[in-house]
Amino acid sequence: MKDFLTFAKEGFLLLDGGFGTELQRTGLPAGVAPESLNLSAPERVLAVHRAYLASGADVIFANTFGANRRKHPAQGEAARLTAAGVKLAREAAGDRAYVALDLGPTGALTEPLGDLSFEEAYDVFKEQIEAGRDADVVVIETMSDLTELKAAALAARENSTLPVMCSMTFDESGRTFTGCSVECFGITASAYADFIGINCSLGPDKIFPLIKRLLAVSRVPVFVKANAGLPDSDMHYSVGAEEFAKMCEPYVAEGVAAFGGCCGTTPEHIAALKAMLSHKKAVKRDVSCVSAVCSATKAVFIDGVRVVGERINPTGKKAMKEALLTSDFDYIAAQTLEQVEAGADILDVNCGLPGIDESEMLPRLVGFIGSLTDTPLQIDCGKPEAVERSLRAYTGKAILNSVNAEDKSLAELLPIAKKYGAAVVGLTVDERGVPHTVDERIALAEKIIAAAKAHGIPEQDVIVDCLTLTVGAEQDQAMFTLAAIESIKRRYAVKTTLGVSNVSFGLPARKIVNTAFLTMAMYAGLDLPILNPNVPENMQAVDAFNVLSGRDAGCALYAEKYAGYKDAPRPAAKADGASSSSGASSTAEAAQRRDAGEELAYCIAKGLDRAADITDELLARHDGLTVIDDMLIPALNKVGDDYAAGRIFLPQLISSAETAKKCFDRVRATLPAGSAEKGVIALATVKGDVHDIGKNIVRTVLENYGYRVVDMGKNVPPEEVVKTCRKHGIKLLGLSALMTTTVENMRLTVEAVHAECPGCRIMVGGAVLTEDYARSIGADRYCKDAAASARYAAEVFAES
Amino acid sequence: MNIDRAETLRYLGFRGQELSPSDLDRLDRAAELTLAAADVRTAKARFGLEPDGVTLQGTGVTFCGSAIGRHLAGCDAVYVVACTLGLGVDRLIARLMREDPALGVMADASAVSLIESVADDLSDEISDAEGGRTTRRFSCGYADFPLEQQADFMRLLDMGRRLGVFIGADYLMTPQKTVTAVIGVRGEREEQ
Repeated sequence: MKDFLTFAKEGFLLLDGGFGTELQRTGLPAGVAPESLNLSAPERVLAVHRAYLASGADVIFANTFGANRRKHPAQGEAARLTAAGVKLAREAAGDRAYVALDLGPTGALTEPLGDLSFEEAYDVFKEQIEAGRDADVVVIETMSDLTELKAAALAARENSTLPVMCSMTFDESGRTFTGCSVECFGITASAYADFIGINCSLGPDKIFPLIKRLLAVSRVPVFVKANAGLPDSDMHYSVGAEEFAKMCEPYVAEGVAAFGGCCGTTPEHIAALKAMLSHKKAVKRDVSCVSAVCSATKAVFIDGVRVVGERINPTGKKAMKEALLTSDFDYIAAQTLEQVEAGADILDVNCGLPGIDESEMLPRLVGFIGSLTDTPLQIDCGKPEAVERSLRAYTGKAILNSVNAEDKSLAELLPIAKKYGAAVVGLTVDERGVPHTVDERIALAEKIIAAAKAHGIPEQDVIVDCLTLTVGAEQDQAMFTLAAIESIKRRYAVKTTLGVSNVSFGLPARKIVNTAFLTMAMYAGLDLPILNPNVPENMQAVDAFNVLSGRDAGCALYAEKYAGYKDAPRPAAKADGASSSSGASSTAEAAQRRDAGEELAYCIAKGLDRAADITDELLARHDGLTVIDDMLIPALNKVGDDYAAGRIFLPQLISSAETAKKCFDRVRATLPAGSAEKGVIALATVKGDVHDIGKNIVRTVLENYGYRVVDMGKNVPPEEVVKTCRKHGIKLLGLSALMTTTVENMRLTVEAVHAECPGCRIMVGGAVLTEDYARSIGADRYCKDAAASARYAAEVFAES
Repeated sequence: MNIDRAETLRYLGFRGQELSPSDLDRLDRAAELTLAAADVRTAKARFGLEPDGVTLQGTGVTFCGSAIGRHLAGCDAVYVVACTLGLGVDRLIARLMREDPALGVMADASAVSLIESVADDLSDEISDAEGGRTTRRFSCGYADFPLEQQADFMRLLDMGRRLGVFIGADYLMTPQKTVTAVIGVRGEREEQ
């Protein structure tokens, strides 16, 4: 037999049809896992395979779809079922058909919403891939989670030499259950698979528009394995064999050459497909490489100017430096969300700083930012290990910023970019330093473009940076940079990028020069300006350019965005908190509370933003610590008492706490760093539990009492809790768990922390916990709510 | 299918405290956001019961624990049901807890009220179809009905493919606002 890929690419490829539904049709009970038959009733599995072979299928999918460790946790069972499944498929196929190792989803959801880590997913699939190594091709199918699909595909690429096919399952709108779009799938998976496709959920008629969308972005051949229509309420599928084949017919003209069936299809459907294809010729598809990047849920096409936000970068930014060194992810979250709000299309992520291990921090940062926003990321680092770990941690297609024209940089980084399908920024510098002419820049760009091509990276994925130099120092260079951009864009299908603001270094009123340079550069062909989107002038220049270049059709976006411009010439500082009903308390009432401390207590109790201004007034007359100890804390204690007594309810407690936080922030600004801090408290939701809403409430309240909270997040293993407690010298740890099953993990965590960090007190809480249970697992205190945890914290830190 | 104000307040620990106009506005907003984020899906399947009263005919699935046996006493069939609000609601709550925690807890409570009402509608529909001869819902994790059996619900209803529900190593489901349950159908003779 020919090698699979040679065969697959020379004409039509006929895959088999539904397996589980076919087994059920022949009597498999609904609650039984189909793959268990590989060992218990192999003759029934063989019968289905043989029927598909007889119908003309070129590829027989082994009965291994659900044979993974998450569904079959008994030691070695997943591997045994997988190996047996491949063996049966081979026995049926003989030398008349190819055998596919069929990998379906684990059934679990990957982090951060689920409990499955990327590494665990990888190991689950690796086990199946090793057990199924006698197959001819690995098919990863019916996926709805792009992270899981990537884990499976990488496991296949790194642990076998077999070709890989990947498909996902979409609803009619073209989204999976986890929100992954057809485009995000196509853009991402093209890097990892020899074929990509769509299967399950819908019939061929409903998948057709989705396949066209997939073809528009896929760089590899596309396959389809549709259901026999939509099932009725009794799970019966209605599309018959002939109708099914007819519905598949229009796919051929679009360039699809690999067909099969999913749920509800039978050997008759496959035979009908075979007959339909027998008098057709496969159409060669024009594979257009589009320039695009994406996260799991959002694709950004680089078909015009796209703004890259530059703020997540410690260079020259003191606050970001501090945030990275102290792992203050809140600050980073704020920077992320602000840039997205301001209109950044892509976010640059850089943590290059002495004292930071980028290979550890950068992937963590990428994961964290990815949990906050669907904006695609640009990994800003030149260290191969950190780059590889970050691209691995990123779901989607990222930009790698950057390689330069030095041989070493190209040789080290391009293979990594290729492996993970990243686009790559090429800086036009080499060992000789910064070029000073237009031609030198072009020559360096050409070297990068050629090296990328040699590594299999098309021009559409190369982004040339012609370097912004400082006009204050080298005035002629600005025009050289622009001339180089223009020339390179004329000759190649590459994109271009520039860090804009460097141009004005050393000049007064830098924004004026930056904006002009940005506009000139966009006119010259700049696609990806790297800038601060929070500076209104920057975004205004981009918006105006889109109008003048005709890209903003009918000036519609511009008109919408700037309709109220005259009324609000400057975007106001971030809108005040939701409960800014400062008018609520009448002047008369205010007059009665002459004492500003009382007024502050009132505003905190009611969650009024005016509290912050009152804090400022108080700070004019008292020192900061007095304001905290004599006014803010008593006000918060009263709120806590009111809550405990049922005088206020949860949202009101939280509003008060949020208001108090604003007051604390005003006070802290007047004090030396750290002196207003009441203490450091670590919080975690224990391993196995992803329900963290209670923990988050506790965190809000504790922070607003003036504690610094190290929040480890959810699903945190005991060893990581121990590590964090040690690292920060934690005196008080809070653990939460929602379910009885995870309370066991809480016990293990308490045990580990008490053994390793003897000075650390542990408070626990969560829906299923009780005073008695907390005591029985060795916790120091059971806290029934957030207010109770604040009271306990006061006790613990009063002792020390 | 709706979000009930009184129920939402009850989940928030409300016991008749004073509610400001701003609290009420925000409760409305939380309910609106929750409804907009929800992608409600349901599934149900009817199975006959074997004479032991806890084994589903033609499935190889037997319910464990004594509580479910008592719950299904006198039944000769069951419905296995599931409903979910989808991951959009999980994402909404996570985002609000970060940006505006007071609104976040309101959205969480709204979502609980919504999923309960979806489950109630499904129960009513089944009750109507069975002439009112149905039991209340009984879910994994109640009494001694083990959480592990969530895996059987996943398979019986093909919940991964049909509803987009995922199951963790500890048998907790994602989306978090997902309900599965058994509803018994009493035999006609039993009823008389």
